[in-house]
Amino acid sequence: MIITSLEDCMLIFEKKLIKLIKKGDHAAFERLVDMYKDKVYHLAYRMLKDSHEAEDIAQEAFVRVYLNIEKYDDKYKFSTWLYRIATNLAIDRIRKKKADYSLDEEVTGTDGLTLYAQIPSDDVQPDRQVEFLETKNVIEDHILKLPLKYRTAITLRYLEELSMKEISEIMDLPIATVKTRIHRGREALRKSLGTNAV
Amino acid sequence: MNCGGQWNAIMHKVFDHEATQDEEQKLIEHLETCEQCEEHFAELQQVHQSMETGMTYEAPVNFTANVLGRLPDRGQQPNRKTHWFRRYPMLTAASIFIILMASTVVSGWNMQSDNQVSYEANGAALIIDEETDTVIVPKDITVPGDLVVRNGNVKVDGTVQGDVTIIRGEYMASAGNVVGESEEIKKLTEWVWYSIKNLFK
Repeated sequence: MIITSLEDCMLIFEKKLIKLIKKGDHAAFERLVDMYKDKVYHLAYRMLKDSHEAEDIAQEAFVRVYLNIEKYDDKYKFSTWLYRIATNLAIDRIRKKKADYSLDEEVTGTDGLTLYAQIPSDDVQPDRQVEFLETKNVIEDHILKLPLKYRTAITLRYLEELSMKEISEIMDLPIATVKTRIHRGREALRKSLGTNAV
Repeated sequence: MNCGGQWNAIMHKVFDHEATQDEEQKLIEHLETCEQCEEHFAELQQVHQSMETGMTYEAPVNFTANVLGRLPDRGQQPNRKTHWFRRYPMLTAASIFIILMASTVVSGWNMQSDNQVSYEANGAALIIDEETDTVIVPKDITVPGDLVVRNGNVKVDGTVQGDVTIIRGEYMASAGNVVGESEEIKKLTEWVWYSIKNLFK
């Protein structure tokens, strides 16, 4: 088999790791977690905008991968499967939070920060708290205001170089639907940025 | 707003790297003349670039260790014994089904061998000759359907308007009339075939 790119190399290596993990190899699983941890955490953080929750969701995604590795069908890319698990966990968490109380409401005078962002947690390091309150990239706040289905589509679209096909497999939706959501998400962000001049 | 939704659509295609060269060209030409669309495009571009150059967040320190810590204690081998069953649930279901069916069929056969002569004649009253273990359909009797005889022979002097099936017995020369077919089942294998055929009757 001719290896045509670095990506092919990675995929072959990944396949080998997965084979080992199916036999219960913890070290191989560790390698896989290291390979994907940043991307999965990034995905969760963009969706939830709470580093505590994002970490929890991201870790849980990998645990699910380990427990269900038998069910992984390698006709799909592993990353597609992993991102789907992580996305669904994030969506479930968001829906659960909405059911509790709407802390998504903006507090006046705080320039787009939500009430959630202002609650300090006891076990969070001081420098992490700073991360809560100072958004280095304004658009992250606006993503949080998007309706859930646009937020998911936009997050995945800009996560890394995911193809439309991969995104549609992750979200389990037709490609046309995915494109529509991405476009509407962009338009919504455009409007949001326009009215909320920072 | 915007002069036409079509231009919006093309703009999004551009940001998704899906616009053809022709479409891009047409869009550029349009933007040169249309101020509204130009503004719209510029705003979308701002969104696009903000998303692309957004901070990449790194997983916190000890992330991997935490993940490993959350794995339940399962030991090195994840259930070798149930590995195949989980992988191929349909296969497992099918095998269990076949095993159950097979044992039903075999026990059905074993039930025949209680050496008691018996018959099923759709309500007709037949005679059993105990000395020769033969079930006789008398001359003026008609069996209005199939006749099944167990552990005995069969002699038809009357009429059978269906098939004659003899399980562990023989069909004796008869003067009567059988509309259907007659069949002797003496071995387990024949019984299995008979059972399968009966499933579809």
